[in-house]
Amino acid sequence: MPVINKPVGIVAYGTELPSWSLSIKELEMAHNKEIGTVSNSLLVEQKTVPDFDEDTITLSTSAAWQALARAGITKNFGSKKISALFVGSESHPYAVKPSGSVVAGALGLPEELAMADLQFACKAGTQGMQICASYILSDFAKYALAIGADVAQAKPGDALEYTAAAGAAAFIFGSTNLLVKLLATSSVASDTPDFWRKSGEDFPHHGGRFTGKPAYFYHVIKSSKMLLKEMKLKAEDFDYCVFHTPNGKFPLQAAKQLGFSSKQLKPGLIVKKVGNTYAGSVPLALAAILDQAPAGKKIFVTAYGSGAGADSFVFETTDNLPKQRKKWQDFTLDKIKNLQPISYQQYARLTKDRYH
Amino acid sequence: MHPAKYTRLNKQWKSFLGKTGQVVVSTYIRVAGSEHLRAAPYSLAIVAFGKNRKELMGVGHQRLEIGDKVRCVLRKGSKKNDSDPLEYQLKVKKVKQA
Amino acid sequence: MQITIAGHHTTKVGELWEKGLADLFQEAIGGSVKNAGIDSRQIDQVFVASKAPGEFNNQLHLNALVSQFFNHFPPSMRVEGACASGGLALLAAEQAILSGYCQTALVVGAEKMTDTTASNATRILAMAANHDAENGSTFPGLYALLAQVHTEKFKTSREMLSAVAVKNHTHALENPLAQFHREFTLDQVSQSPLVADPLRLLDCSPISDGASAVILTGRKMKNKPKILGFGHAQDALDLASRKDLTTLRATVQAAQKSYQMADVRPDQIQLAEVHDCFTIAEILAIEDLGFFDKGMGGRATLNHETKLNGKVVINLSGGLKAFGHPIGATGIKQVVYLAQQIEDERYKLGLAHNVGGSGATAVVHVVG
Repeated sequence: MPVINKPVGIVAYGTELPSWSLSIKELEMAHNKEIGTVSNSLLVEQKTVPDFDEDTITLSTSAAWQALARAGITKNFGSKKISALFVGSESHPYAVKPSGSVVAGALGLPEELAMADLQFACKAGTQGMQICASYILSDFAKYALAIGADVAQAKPGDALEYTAAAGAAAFIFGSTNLLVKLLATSSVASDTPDFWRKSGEDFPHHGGRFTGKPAYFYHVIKSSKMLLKEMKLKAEDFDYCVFHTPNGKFPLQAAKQLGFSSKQLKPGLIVKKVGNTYAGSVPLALAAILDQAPAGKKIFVTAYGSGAGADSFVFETTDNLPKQRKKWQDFTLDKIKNLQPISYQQYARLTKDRYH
Repeated sequence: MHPAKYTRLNKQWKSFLGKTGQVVVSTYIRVAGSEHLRAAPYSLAIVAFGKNRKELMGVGHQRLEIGDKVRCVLRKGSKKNDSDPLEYQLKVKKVKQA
Repeated sequence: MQITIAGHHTTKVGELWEKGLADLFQEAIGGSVKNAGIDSRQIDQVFVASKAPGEFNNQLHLNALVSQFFNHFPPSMRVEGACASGGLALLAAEQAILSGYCQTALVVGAEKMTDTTASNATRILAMAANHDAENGSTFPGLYALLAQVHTEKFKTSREMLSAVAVKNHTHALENPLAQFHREFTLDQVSQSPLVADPLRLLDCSPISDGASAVILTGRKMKNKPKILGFGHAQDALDLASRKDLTTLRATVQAAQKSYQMADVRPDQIQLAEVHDCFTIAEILAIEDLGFFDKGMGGRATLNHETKLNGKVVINLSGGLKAFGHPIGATGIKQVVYLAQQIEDERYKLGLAHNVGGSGATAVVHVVG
């Protein structure tokens, strides 16, 4: 049953963006495209670029550290209270050995830990969030940590290159002292190969325009309508919404189709300045909203994962959120502001070395 | 490094991850040994964490100066050979002064 | 105490493509036996110094390799203390002689560093640091940190560092065995490429092949230089654990012990071969050995007080910077150089200063 009757939700969260940003303009120039054609079509201005010593594991560790540090301000919350960890990504550094094991070790999580890596393209992080909520609801864990992180790959010159970015967001789930309540969640999945990367390949492939209506829109709309129906809610009942951002255009179209306004969408639409952080994108967008949302606000979230599937969530902010936020620093928008622009040459060197 | 050594060293990360300290002295290494060729140029600093001092590399190619406030973060280490697990290590990153 | 330097020999130092490690040992040993004018069977014991023959040459068990050069296979051991290996091997021999365990000892050091790439050599050299606590360090990097601290506290300038290199290269012109016979101006040193800020290429001693040997004996021998005193001290391996980064405490303590044993004062030393692996190392050394006040070493060098005919002549051989730094041989070649100068009656009292790593080990000898 997607509707939840017991208390569960987000106790703390953190984000991490890598060091650099690359403007779409630099990519357009490098690939001899007319300036503005790609960025106007995708509604993205720049994307984040990881440094040579950053990867999914390091980004996850930093985002989770911030979540733990914030949880630690409220009460004596140590890393030892976490008993489940799920890291969702499509760029896990190992094919065998979970990113979560390195993250858990670095954070000092206890060895009494349920942990696994998840892979479902861009919805691996949100699937982890759903699993963490279920661990709390079933009393398998008192606190569970979900991370969505990616250092996305794209073949140079391919359309995906313009948006393939890097970032991470981490959420600690629990049942008490919630900042954000989880009211309902559900998912859909089908065998739809719109975007894939086979084992051993460096770069993904995609089905071009096939990634739109039969893939992204079909699953996002289906999952969203299904959850809204279960909750007996309409778009106008929400204050904010988040839809997965492979670019800046798709979420606008999805929101419109479901009856959400651009006013509800805008606060989470960081894709313009960040690019598509894949498994990090919906988690980061949600974090950007939580960085500013007042108490008592409803947030509708649908993530999309190629291959394909979607996760939908209904969240509601509590009084605790604005209260605790006063004690924090280094919000998602601050991290966006601190991105340092690099040239195409610097970016090309960083990405070349990543694969050799 | 061999997995056995990895598991001895990785236990030290949690004690310093996220801690902030101050740069006591720093240099910018431009000619690196074969282990850290990819990282060059990089900062090498003595950082004071309260009474403790540690020598740590700076993240990426970030230049550190005496007095900088820095935080310990986890970053990729050097790539030594294909038969070893991936290396990670603590490095320090400048903290933006408010 | 009576330890006589019966014989000595240093090979040419440089990129010796034609010579392998064994060749270098053989040349130094043969030369020192010939110089001593003794029968090689008089050598009771051998002490071998080499920093990293396993890494550079895939060869350990050097004590056996070297003993094999003699028909009588003298008992032999290898001593290692990074760049202080030579000095420590001398100490081991001196202690064996003074204890009466042996009468005549050969001390030979060698390093063959050029059979590998520069970046691999940098990695091997960095092993003299604390590998876990100083991950990412290189030797230029560690001494650069010391230079930064010295500059912060004492305003040691870029020019003062360069003055060390200029002086040592000029001195080396008169040393036929030196790796470099080339002079530099202050500007040339100050503008050479940065290696680890603020140290530049010409602040750094080179990668060198070479070997050096001395024969020490407890026998009385006329007209031969003597070891008058020695001292040895340690400090924390990693810089972060040191109390004071403006001084190499190990040098201060080793020097005090050697002066006491030799019953001399620093101002009586006329000639000193100090461990200038980097220009800042010489500035630190001449302060820590008591020749100049703390913080004044740079100024003294810039004012030519340590040049030939200066207050105390530092690194007349060219030092590690211009004579070269075949690591295991360095501590021994310093003593050999002093012995030659004393035999030629140019000087009466000399000091050799050999350091391991970034200053964790220091060995000082007084020769006269």
